[in-house]
Amino acid sequence: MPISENVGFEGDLWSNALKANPTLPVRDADGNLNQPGATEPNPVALLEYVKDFTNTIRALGNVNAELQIADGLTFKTVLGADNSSSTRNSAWSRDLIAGTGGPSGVGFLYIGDLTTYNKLWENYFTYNKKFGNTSFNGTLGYSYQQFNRSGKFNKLTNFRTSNLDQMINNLASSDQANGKGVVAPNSFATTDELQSFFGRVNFGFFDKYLFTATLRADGSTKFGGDNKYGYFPAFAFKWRLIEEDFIPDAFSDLGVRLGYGVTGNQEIPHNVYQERQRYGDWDINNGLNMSGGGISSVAFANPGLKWETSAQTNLGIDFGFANNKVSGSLDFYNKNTNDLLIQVTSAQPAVTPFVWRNLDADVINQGVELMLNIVAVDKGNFDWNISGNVALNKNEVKNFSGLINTGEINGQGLTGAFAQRIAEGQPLFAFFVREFDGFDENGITQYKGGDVQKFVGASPIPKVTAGLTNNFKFGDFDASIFFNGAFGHYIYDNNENALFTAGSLANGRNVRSDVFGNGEGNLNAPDVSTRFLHKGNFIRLQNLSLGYNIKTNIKNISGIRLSVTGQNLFVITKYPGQDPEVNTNKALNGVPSLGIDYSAFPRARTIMFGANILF
Amino acid sequence: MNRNKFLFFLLAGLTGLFSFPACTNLEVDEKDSVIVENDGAGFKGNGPELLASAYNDLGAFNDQANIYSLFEHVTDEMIPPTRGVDWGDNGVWRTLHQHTWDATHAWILNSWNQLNSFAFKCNQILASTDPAPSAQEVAEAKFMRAFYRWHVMDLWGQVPDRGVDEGVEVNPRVYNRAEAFDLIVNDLNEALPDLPVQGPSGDPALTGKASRAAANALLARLYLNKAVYTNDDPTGNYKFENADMDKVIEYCDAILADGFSLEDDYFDNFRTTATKEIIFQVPVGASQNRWMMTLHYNQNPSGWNGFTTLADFYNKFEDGDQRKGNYPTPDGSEFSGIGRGFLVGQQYADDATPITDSRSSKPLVFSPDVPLAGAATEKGIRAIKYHPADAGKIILMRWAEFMLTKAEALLRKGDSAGALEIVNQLRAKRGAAALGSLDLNTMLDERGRELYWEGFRRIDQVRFGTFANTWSEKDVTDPKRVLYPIPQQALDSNPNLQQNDGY
Repeated sequence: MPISENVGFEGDLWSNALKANPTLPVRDADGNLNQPGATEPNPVALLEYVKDFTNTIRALGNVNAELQIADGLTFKTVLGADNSSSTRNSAWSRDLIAGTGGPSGVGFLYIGDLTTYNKLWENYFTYNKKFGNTSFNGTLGYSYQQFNRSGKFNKLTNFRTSNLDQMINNLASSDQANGKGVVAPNSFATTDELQSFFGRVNFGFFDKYLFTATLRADGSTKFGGDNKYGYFPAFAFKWRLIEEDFIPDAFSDLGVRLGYGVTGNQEIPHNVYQERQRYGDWDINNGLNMSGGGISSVAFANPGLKWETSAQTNLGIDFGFANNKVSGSLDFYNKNTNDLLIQVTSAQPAVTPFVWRNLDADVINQGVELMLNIVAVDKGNFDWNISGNVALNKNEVKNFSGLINTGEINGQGLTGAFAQRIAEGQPLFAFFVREFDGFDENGITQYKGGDVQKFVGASPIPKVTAGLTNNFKFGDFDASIFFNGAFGHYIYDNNENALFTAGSLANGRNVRSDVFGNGEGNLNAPDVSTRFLHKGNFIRLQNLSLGYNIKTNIKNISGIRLSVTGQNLFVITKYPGQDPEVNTNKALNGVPSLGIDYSAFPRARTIMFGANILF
Repeated sequence: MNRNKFLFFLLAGLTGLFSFPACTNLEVDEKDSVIVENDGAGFKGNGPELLASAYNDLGAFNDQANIYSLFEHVTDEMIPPTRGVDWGDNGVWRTLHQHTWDATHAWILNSWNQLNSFAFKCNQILASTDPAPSAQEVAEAKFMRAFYRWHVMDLWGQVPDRGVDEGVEVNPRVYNRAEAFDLIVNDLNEALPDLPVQGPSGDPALTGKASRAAANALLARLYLNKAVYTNDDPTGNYKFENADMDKVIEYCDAILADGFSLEDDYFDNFRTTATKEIIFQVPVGASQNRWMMTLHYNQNPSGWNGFTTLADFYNKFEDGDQRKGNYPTPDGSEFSGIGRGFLVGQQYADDATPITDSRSSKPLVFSPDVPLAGAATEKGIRAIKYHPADAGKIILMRWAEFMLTKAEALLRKGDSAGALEIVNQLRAKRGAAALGSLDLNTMLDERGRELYWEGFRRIDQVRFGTFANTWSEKDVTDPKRVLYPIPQQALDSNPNLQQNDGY
C-alpha cells in the first residue's frame, strides 16, 4: 500500500485518510470513485487503484558439530546460511488522480527483485580445566561472514490498461512504441565480508573472584588499507562477596562487578572508502520524459574511514536478602562512543555531496539502572512476585565543532524543513525548532526570539525508562501484568504540523477538533516550532495475561490450560498523536533521526485466547 | 569412528563443498561499479561519459528551488508569498525576499553543493585517462567548468577547488574572487580555439552543448561584471574600465558573427520551435517547474500556486510591448486557457469559462498586490514564458541578452547614442515604443523587461547598485548581502573557507 515516511503535500494513504474531507462522497452517484484533484487524493482510490505487494521467500539454517579432542578441549564448527529473495510489484493505475507528476493518465509500474545471501562459518576451541581452587575456561576462535546483496528493478509507464493485474503480469501493456524508451532500469550487486579472530579467558578463584578477559580482532571489507581491522578488548571482574565470612547472614546474595569493554560498529553502506563510479538510475515522469542515467561517482576516496568504537565502563552490585525474597542489581555505566560513523556534508568541490566520516566527537551516555525482584507473597496457594526496573540515562555530544541537521519534516509548505540538530553540548538528535508564542490578531504565528530555529531544551531520548511486572498465582489461576513507561522526552508530531492547521481546514481538509477556534488564521504558515513538539511521557499496559489450569483425568491428556492475553491494552499519556512510542525514519541526508511521528501505522491492540492441551 | 567424529568430517567436507574462503584478505570485490581511484597511472575516469554527465548536471537549472531561487527571489521582479499552509517551507522563500537569510539556509547549501560538485566533475573529465577526452571534449569541459565556477564566484565570492586525486582528508584550496575571475577567463580562452562553431539551431541537442558562441557569451558576462568581481569592496563603488567594456563589445560581436538574431515573436524563444536566439540551454529535462511554480491550482495545468511578480515591476511595461504578454485565446484545446507573459485579472479555463477558485469559491482574479506572508490564493501577477502547450527547454543564454550587454558596455563607455540605437532595435522588434534617451536606470529596466524570470535580475541589480534598496515587502538591507554566506556546513567541512563579511 502507498505508505511513505516522507511524503510531501500530496500525502500518502495514511495521511489522506486523516485529511480527506469527510463531507465529500467516496463515490459519485454512478458508483465511480470521486477524485477531487491531484493534491487531494481519495484514500479509497489509493486503495483500489494501487497494488503494491512484496513476495519474500527465505531459507535459513545452520549445522554445527563438536569434536572432543582431549579432556576439556573441544572444537566446534558452525556453518550457517540465510538466503532471501523478494519481488516487489507496485502498480499505480492511470485512473488514479494523486500527486502532480503522478500516474494520472499514464500509469506507473515498479517491479523489483532483491536477493540477499548471507553465509557464516565459525570455528572455535574451548578448554575447561579446574586446578584445585582455580577454574579456567578459554576460547579461541575464528569466524567469517559474507553478505551478498543484489537486485534489479524496472520502472514502466505509458500503460494502455488500467487493470492492475494486467499491468503487473503483462508488461507489454506499457506502450513502448513511441520510441521514448519508457522502461527505466537499473541493477546492483554488492558483497561485504566480516572476519574475526577472538579469544576469551575466564579465571575463577575459590568461586569468589571471577576474571574475564576478551580480545576480538574484527575485520571488515567496509574499510580500506590499515583500517580494516578493529581491536576490541574487554575485561570484567566479579567479587562474590556472599562467599566471604564477614558478610552478615541477612544477605542471601551479594557481589560487585567491575567491567570495561570496547565494541565496534561498521554498519555503513557498502564500500564508501574508494572512489567508485556507476551509471545512475533512469527516471521517467508523468510527461514520459526520461532523466538520469549519467555516469557519476557514488563514493569518495576516503581511506581514513575506520571502525566506530564505544568504550563502556560498568560498576554493578548484585544483592539478595532474606533468601532472595528481595533481590536485585544496581548498575552505573558510562559509555563513550567516538569515531561515530555518520554521513556529513562533503567539503566542496566533492565527488559526492555527502560523505561518511568518523565524527570527531564524543557521544556520552551515562546512567544508572536498578532492577528489583520482590517475592511479596509466597503462601502455597497464593503467590505474588513483583519485579521492576528503572533506568536513568543522560546523553550528550561533546568535543564536536560542527553541526549536523536531521529530522526532516514533510508536508505541504514544509519543503526543506527539519527539526533536529546534532551539536556540541546537546543530546544526540536534540530538537532544534522555533519557539512558538501564540498567534497575533491576524492569526499569524509569533515566535519568541524571532523567526529562527534554536535549541529549546527538548530531547527525544527519554531521561527515565521503567518497567513493572506483577505475577500472581492463586490456586489454578495465574495472572501477569506488565507496565512499561518512558519519561522526560519529547516527540515532534509531523502529522499535526502537516495536516492539523487552520490553513489545512481552510483548504477543505479534515483536521483535529482542537484546530477549530485555536486562534490560528487561515493564511498562517505553520512552520516547524514547539507548537508541534509534545512531551512523550507515557505508561502503557503492555501485557496482561490470565490463565487457568484444569486438572484432568482424561486418558492421555495430562493437563489443559486456558489463557487470555491482551497486549497494548491502554496507554496513559498526554501526547496528542496516535501513539507516543513512535519513531518514524525521518533521516536527512542519511543522518538518522529520533522521536518524530509521521504517517506511522498505529500500534495494534491484540487480544489472544489460548488453549493448551498437554498429552 | 564415533558419531561425533563422523559428523565432524561430514561438516568439514560440506565446508569444502561450499568453498568458504578461509582467512580472506578482506579486499572488496566490486561488481556493480568501477573503482576509479588514482593508482599512480592517472585517473581512471571515462572522459566522454563524464562530459555527458556534466551536461546532464545542467538539469539543476530546471528546478524552481535552489540555484534559480538564489537568482530570483532576492530581487524586485519575483516574490514567493506564503499562502496559508502553502509555501511556508520553513522560511526558505520569505528570508530570500527579505534578505534575512543566514548561513544555514537550505537552498544556499544545496546550490553550493550542486555547483561545486558540477565543477569538480569537469576536473574529473580533464584528468580522465580511460579514455581521455578529445581536444574538443577538453574545451567543452573547460567551458562547463567556467560556467559552473562563474556561478560560484558570482554568488559567494570564493571558489574552492579539489584535485581528482585528493580524497576526503584534503581540505580544498580556495580562490578569492579576483583569482577565480582569472581562472575562469583562462579556461574560456583556452577552450575557445577547440570549441565547435554552432550558430542558431532549433535542436537542444546542439544548443545544449558548449560552443564558441557560448564561450564568447560567458566572457561577455564576465567582463561586463568584472568591476564587481575584482573590486576590493564587493558591495559597491564599482569602476567599469573602458578596456573591459571594449572586451564586452568584442565578445558580443563575436556571438553575432555566428549568426544569431532576434525571434519575430518574443515568446517563440520559449517554444520548441525557437530557432534564432538560443545560444546555450539545458539539454535535459523539461521546463514544467517554471509554470507549475506560478500557475494556480484551478488552472489547467493545475499549478502549485506559488511565485508572482511585484506590482512595481509589472508597471515597468507599456501596453503593446510583446513582452508584457497577451491574453490567451481559449479554444477548447489543452492549455489554451493559459496566456503568455504576465497573467493578470480574471483567468479562464481552456473552454473560455471563467475559473472559480475552489478553495475560496470566488472568481480567480490575479491581483497586482501581493503580501509576502498570509497571501490569499489569488494574490499576485503570474508570469509564463515557457508555456505548457509548447515549452522548449530552459534557456541559459540567448542573443537578446547580448544586444543589451553590448548596449550597456557602450553606455558605460559614454556612447549613449550607440547604446540607445541597439536598445531601440530590440524594442522595435518587441513592439515597444522607441526610447528618447538612455541612462543606467532605463538600461536596468530594459534588461528587466527583456530578461525577467530568466535568472539574471540579482546580477543586474548588484551591478547597477540597487540590490540593497527597498521594494515591496523588503526594507533597505545590508549591502553586504550582495554575496551569499558560505554555508555553515561548508565552513565546518573546510577550514580554508572564510565566512563572507556581514554574516
